Amino acid sequence: MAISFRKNLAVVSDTLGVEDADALLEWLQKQAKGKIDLSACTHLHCANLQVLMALRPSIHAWPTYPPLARWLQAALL
Amino acid sequence: MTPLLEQFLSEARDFLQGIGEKLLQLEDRPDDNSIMGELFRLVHTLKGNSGLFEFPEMTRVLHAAEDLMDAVRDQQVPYSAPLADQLLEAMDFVTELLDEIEQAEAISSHRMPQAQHFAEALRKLLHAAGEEAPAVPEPAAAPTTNAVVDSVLQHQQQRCSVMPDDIRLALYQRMMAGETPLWVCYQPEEESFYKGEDPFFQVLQLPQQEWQWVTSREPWPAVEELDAYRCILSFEWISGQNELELREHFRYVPEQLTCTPLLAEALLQVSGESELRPELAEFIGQLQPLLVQKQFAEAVAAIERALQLCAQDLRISSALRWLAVVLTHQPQRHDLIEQLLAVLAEESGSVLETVLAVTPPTPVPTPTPTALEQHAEDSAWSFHVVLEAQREILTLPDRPAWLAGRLQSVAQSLAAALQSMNLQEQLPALEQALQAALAQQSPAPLLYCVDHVLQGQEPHSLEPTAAVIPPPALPSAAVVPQQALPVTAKPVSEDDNKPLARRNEETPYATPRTLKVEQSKIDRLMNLIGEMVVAKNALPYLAGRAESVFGSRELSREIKAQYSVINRIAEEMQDAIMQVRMMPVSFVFQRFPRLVRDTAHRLGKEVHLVMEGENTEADKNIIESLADPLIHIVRNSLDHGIEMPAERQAAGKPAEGRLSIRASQESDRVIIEIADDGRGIDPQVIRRKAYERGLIDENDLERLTDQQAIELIFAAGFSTAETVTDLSGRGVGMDVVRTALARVKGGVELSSEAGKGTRLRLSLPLSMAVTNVMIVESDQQVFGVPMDAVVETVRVPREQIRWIKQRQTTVLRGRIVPLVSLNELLALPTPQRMNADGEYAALVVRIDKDHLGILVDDFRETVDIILKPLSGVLSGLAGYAGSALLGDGSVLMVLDPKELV
Repeated sequence: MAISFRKNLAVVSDTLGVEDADALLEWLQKQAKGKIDLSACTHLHCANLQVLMALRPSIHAWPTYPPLARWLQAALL
Repeated sequence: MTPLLEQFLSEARDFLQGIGEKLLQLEDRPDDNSIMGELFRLVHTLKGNSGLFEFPEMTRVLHAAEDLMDAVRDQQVPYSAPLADQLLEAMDFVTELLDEIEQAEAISSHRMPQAQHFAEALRKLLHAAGEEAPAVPEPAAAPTTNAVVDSVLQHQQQRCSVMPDDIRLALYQRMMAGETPLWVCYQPEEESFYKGEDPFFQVLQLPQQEWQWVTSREPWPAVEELDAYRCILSFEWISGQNELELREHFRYVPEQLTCTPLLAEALLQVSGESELRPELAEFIGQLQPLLVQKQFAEAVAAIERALQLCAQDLRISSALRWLAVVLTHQPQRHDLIEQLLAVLAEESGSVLETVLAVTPPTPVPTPTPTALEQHAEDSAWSFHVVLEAQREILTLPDRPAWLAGRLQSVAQSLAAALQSMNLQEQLPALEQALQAALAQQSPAPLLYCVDHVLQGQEPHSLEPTAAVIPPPALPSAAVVPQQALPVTAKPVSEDDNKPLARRNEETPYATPRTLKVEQSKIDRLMNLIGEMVVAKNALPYLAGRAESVFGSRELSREIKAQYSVINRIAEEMQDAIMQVRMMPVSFVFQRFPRLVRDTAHRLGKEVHLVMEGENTEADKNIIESLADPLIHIVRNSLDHGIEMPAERQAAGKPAEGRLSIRASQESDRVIIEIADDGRGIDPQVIRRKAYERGLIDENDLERLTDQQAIELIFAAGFSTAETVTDLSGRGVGMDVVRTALARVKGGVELSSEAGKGTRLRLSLPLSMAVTNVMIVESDQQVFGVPMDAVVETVRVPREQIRWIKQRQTTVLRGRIVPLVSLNELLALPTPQRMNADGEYAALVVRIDKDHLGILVDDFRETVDIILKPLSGVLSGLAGYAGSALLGDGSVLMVLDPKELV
């Protein structure tokens, strides 16, 4: 699993697969103030993107991979 | 090209042929359900096969066809002639795709719009007859009215408003310099996640965009109702890629992608913080006269000075920057200048005094020539280059001998150039000049013609050319209506689409490279070549007769020379036909991965299958005869050889067993080795089992070597399994393997080490068409003995033959070889003859692993024969492998020593 949930911070490492979207959604539904750390994220499946767009958690750190960061900022800012 | 692809191509052509036939049959019998079912099956299979490869264009069309056929089969849609036409056209298109694949092993991306066109046409038929209204928008009805342009502009403007000013400015300037970025919108379908797609990944793979947006197509539902797996996203971006590249990237989902040109006006937006700057009012006042006097350069310089006075992020700065850009690139767009001036006035608190003479915006400038004009220009240029080149050739000094040829070639080049420019009416003049030049032996008349007649020619009006070269933008415009914006607006009419479908009639029929031939035809060829070999073998006899009977050594030698030529050709022919019959062993091997997987699964074992040398080839009959024995062996290995994972681990082996099947060729035999790393065969166990089953007696228990013991598994009725499983253990198996192999003159060797594994080595002839036999004589008859059984021929003096009990024996190289007389075996009453030295002729043959000497009267030569099995009444005759025709026309009976003894 490429995502580890801490108290109110979800840290994403590597790639978020399609099946991770469920876990992410569930966590965000519970953690209204959950933050996401995407700095180590290299890609996330479109379903995850959709979850992020719908729930708009605050982004603790953007991905370091520039194209991913650009698109995510376009979607979430 | 991979064998799989080759097979697909050849099969696909058969399918298409079948589809065509069935459609035509249906025209006569539209109510015949069996034809309809067959038709559906063909289309369905072809679609499925195409899905194995990356040919989305083909799959798309076939999928639409399949859906349509399904509906027709279920009688939701009536069968009609137009429907058949449409299907036939679609199949023609698929044929074209096949041709393309055959040539390039890929389908070029420009096929996708055509594929969509066909798929849509088929779907339309489906919907037209179905209950529901067509969900597909009418593709041809793409109005190019201002309303559409306005809505596109509005959309783009709204999206672009989030782009930073400097990016928009830079892009605008690049567009003014001639770049044509595209506005791309990608809307993945809702179920795309379930199809294993990741639209976001697709998008991320693209090269960098100018700017990008991700939006949802509908408002987000409440948090607890959100379905993460229903894709409602929409990706938009400004791309510098051309449309073909983009379509190639999204070739699997072409209908989810729309490309429109980016409108420059959408970028022109004034942004920034609004702050009243009255000190600039004066500047604005000075600017206006400059604009009225069209002193744009001065105006731009003035604007740049003013810009230095204000903070960069103010709205007024933005307006100034845009004004400078517009004045530089499009000073004729008074409407834009007016708008920007109004912003400036507003931000500086001044009032616009002089208003520019408002001219209606000049119709959208078209600085770039259309493709057609461009083409005409290019060809005119090339035409002149050709003329120049020919002129230069004509002026070269020349030798008389070459002149005529050179003149003619110049005239030919000119004629070709004229034809390509539609200047056919100039051809007679050219011809005349050529004749004159040839007559005068001088290039002058042609030169004159080039300089005075042709040089002044302009290519003819473009209409005829236009018909030949369709504008490149057309296919995509036909499919993506949204693209029909002013820049590329091309009305799509029925006529434009026709050439796509009808092209097939003109293109020459691509001949398939493989032939499917019925086996009987090849067999007939085999028989014929067999007769040829026999007939050829008659020549040496003839040569012998020429010498001995007619006493002409000369003639005999000539016949022999001819014989060697015919012999060579016959051998090559035989080899060629043999090649035709060759099949790779993969034909048998291909079922093993599945068999091993399923069997291992059922037995609860873990097995890793390794296959090598699948490309080794052998005669079709051999390969086919191999299938059953191999399956037996593999099952045995899995069942008896490889242990359960726990047992293996206890023995210090990896839990996963290893089964390897290797095929290779050794001179004229195919070798197949099946090896496992299982428990091996324990000779003690075999001895005991064989004894229990009564296969051996107590003496044998002690006497048999380990190797002999394990080979008992080939004995009929032998089984080691404690329980009879559904896989093996019924006592049929290895003996069947041995007999099946023996039938095709194959052999099997077994080696095994307890605890380490078992290895079986099958050896088969490459082909069984030609048999090499040795001819022997006995009781004034000739018989053939297959050479592969013959070990040696020896002369045994009578005194060396000893009688042991009732049998004759002799000692050959320290080994006792039993001897039998052929006459005795064949129940001929005469005794075997000896030669003048009192020696018997003994043919030592191998039977299984034992040697046996067969006493005959005399040895003759060895010959290649085509062995025909005995048929009819004779087929029950034991002891004979078959018969063959000899060169002198006599019949040779070929013995089977194994059966005989």
